[in-house]
Amino acid sequence: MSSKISFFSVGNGDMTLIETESGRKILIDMNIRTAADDPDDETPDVAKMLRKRLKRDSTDRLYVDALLISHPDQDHCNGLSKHFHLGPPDKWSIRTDKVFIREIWSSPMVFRRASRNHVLCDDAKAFNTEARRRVQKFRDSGGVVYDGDRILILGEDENGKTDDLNAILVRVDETISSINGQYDWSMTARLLGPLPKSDDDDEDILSKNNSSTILQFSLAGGGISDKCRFLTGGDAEVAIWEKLWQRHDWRPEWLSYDILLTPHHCSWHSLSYDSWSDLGEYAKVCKDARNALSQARAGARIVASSNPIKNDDNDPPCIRAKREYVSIANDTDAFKCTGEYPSEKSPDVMEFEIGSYGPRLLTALMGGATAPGVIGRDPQPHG
Amino acid sequence: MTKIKFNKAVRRAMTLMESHPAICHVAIPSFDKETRTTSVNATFDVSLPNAWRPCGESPSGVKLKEEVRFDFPSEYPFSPPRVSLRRDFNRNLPHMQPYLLSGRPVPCIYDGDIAEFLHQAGLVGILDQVSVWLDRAALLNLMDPEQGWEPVRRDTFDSYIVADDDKLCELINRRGGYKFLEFEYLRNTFNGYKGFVRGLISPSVLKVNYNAVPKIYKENPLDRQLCYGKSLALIVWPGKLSSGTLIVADSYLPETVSNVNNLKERAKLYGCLKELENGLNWLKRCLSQDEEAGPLTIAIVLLPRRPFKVIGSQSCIELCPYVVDIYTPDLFLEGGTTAVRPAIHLHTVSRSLLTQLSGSAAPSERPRWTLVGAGSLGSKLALHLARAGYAPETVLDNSPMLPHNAARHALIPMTGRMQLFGMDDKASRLCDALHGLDQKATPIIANVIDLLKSKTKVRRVYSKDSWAIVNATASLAVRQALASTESLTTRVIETSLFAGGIVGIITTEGPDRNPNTADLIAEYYGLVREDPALAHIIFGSDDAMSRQSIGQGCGSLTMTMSDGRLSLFAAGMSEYLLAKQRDGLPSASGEILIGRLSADGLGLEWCAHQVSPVTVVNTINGGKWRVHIHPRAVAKIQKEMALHPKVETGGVLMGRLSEASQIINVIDVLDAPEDSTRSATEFVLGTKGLSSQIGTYSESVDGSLYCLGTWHSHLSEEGPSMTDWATAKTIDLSRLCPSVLLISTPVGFQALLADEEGK
Repeated sequence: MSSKISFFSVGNGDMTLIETESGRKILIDMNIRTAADDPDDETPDVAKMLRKRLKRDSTDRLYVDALLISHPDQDHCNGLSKHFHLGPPDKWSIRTDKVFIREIWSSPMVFRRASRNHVLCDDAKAFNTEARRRVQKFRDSGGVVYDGDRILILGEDENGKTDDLNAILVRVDETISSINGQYDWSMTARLLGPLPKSDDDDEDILSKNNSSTILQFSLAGGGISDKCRFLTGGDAEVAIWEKLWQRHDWRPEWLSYDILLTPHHCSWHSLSYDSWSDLGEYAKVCKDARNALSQARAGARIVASSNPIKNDDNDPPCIRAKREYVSIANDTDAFKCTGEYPSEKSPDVMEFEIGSYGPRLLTALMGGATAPGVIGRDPQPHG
Repeated sequence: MTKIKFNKAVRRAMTLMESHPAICHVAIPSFDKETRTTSVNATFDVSLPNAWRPCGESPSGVKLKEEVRFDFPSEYPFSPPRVSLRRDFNRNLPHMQPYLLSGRPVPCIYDGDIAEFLHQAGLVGILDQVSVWLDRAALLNLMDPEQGWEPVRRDTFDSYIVADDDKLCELINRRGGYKFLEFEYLRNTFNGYKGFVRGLISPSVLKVNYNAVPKIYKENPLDRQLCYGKSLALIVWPGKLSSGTLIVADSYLPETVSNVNNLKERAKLYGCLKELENGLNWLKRCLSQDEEAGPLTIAIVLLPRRPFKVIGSQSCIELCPYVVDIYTPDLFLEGGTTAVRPAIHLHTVSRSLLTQLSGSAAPSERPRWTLVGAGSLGSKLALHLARAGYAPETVLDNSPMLPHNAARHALIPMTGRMQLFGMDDKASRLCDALHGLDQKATPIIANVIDLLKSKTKVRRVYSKDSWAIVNATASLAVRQALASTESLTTRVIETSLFAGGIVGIITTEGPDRNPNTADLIAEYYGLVREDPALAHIIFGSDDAMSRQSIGQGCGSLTMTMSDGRLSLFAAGMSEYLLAKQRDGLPSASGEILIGRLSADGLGLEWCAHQVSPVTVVNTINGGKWRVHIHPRAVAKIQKEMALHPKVETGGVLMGRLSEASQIINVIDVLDAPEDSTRSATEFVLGTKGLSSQIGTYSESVDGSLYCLGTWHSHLSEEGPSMTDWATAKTIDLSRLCPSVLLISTPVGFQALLADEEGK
């Protein structure tokens, strides 16, 4: 018995699949690029990799139990309409065989109107439409909804649009212990963000990045609860992490992790207000933000879901941010980048298995996939 | 310094190692001129859980980075690299080889021949296996309690001991102790007393005392290298702790015993040292009054109790066998340093072993079935099924095994004068072979027809809860006897070959033996007639059966074909029988399978036909004669009656009959000739073209199906009219065989027989 966390190699984007010990699957974000769907392109075919890890239900629908889009940026919802069924459950068709989403976990941003500061890509618009359809269904049915119509709203809407949604609303600092309407003993997730807006917040705080959903998952392993804490925060930037530390410095375990998904693809802007490309090594780290991201438990691993990290001016991913995370983990090997795992030449899914001993990064093997350029297998006959 | 030139394959291997995702470093290789071996050290990243990473190793002692040595022999890539671990690697792990390689522990990374694995999966496969092995060793996951206790690796030793582990386990108890059992062996003396021993421990407990021991042991040379011996095996098992709990050996140790001292240390770890010493001391006392003699080869089996069931066993007891040479009167010539050789344990031939190797779980009780005919086809069917754990319980055949049977019979003739013993009855010899496969069967050497016709003897042919009788005699007389024996309640399956082994058939009777085995053969001829190409094969050749000389003035009527061709059919038929024993016989019908040899003679194609029950009509005037109307004929009669609902109509009946079983099989009907007349009171069969129509029909199946009489309809339920009786009499005068006059009424059939009996 084990839980599993899989990070897909999607360039500068996020795509994480959590498989709880009870067998439920939660997908956080996706960045299924056009190139990934092209069989002639070397970009990892992450849709295929994901589908291989999912199960079919009694009506032959491949499904995820929950889908969380941390915030509506393209690198977090790319490919949604193409690969996932959106709309009423009875409209699902085997002909297109799209992945069925039993429950959506959405930030309250779906209630925000589009504006100059809130431009949405097509997939983000489709997600918003689907989320609003499910909210409406909840309202229309008096709260009686089933697979494919369920939704959880993670965080309150500042304009009161979630006031009548108590049954499907998770407020900041509360925990989620149900998936798709069913209690799951092997998982809890604490909602740490998006934080409620305070009066002195400037416009920057309202940006999409900073409205990212931040969750600390606690997963069971080997039948024992809380064997792995996983902290994930979308593209939340330095101001959010600074605020989070100020809010929780007296209970830092709320920010503790065995696995951290570095915010915003290993961006320097999650650790500092300064510009890496302008100031280089002179750029200063925000102490409180760093503290928020430093609550590593013994042997913790830090994952950057990004392109390979080079020693250059790029941000994200930023080499200086990587150095900071390596310093936090106090172990060079503890830091892993999805674009370089297991090799930059042939990136593959990075999988952590959580057993009774806690999480461990599964060794990437060569023969598991048909490795290009190596001598193939020869079936063993019987004599 | 001379630059070493490695062969290309090793260089390629190193490049591969460098690109393997689990390998973080590949060291500069070294070359041993003497052994022509290239050694490459590769450092693997071990997937340790986060929690163990800070201290750099797992609780089982596997490090975050493990250096593994790959020794590439000069024959690489024909031969695989030898894989070894650092010298101080924890050896007390499952899946560890019992030997060292230059002092380095050797992981057992693949459950099979590593050379074959190299050719199957390439070096990538070996590297992946090493990586997986290290990860599991770190997690102590090399053994899965759900799968069972991994027995100590012993498959590299020269000697082996065959013993029934279940029966040995039945001999032991909770108190701890020892027992002496019978031990027979073959000893190879090529290398003196260090040669291998192939031994068999029988579960018969021996009484060992002063008088008995000298009589137990004997050894005779079989040839220059091989000796056959009888001796004893000492089995030793642990008891309980003073607290009353059973002694369990729960730590894994590789097999490293090489002398008596080691053996005692191992027995101590298994909790049975006292029992071992007691057994050896008793043996020593029993031998103490003998003259100096030896060496005598004995087997010692330690039976440690494991924390959970041993893989491949239903028990927690593991068998750890050893072979040791003893002397009288001192037992061990060199004391504690006397050599002890660990041996491999092998299961005895048992039904469960055969079932396991056949890839399916067999029911604990094997289905009861009878094989009639232990000839070339029957013997193969019996052995194929026995090897899967489904041997017949009774084998019926009255013919002896003769030299010419060696061409195709499943049993192999013996050599020289032993050939004489091989010329026993086929049924007995086949049952001996089945017994060797741990499945007892009863031979009946008798004429099948005599048995079937005797009300008292017929019960010997099959059990009350018999699954089926399989008739592999290819005897027409046996078929009819089986078909007509009404007291036979079990279903009959017939297997036979035609046309020199180009066609084979399986017929299976339906529920309540309807259709019966003779009905199915008649139906088979009907099916063949519908396929002109098949009919040509079956009925077109006159020389399928021929008389073969099997001695001067002595011959056998048989069908010549190679053993391979016969085996092709036998294999398919055996698979059918196995499937039906597992899944059950057809529940609503009989079945005919026709197998045809492919054009190239290498394979078969089977075609299955379901045959619905026949309509059985007793003849009004024919005593035991009955008419079996096959579904095809019933359908045609009903269709014709539907076309003429207001007048009587009729036609000609085709099929076959058996005087022996007194059954008339109507498998088909021919339309009435065009000059036939139909009225409300009478149907008069015409004659125009009828004779040639019947002739053509019959010739197409070489006379196997022929005219049986006529049928006509009645518009009411009434039976035969005066005219019908008169017609029957007329027919009787004009035909030499019994004929049937079948009347189809709205409520069913009635039949009149026209023959001497039917007057």
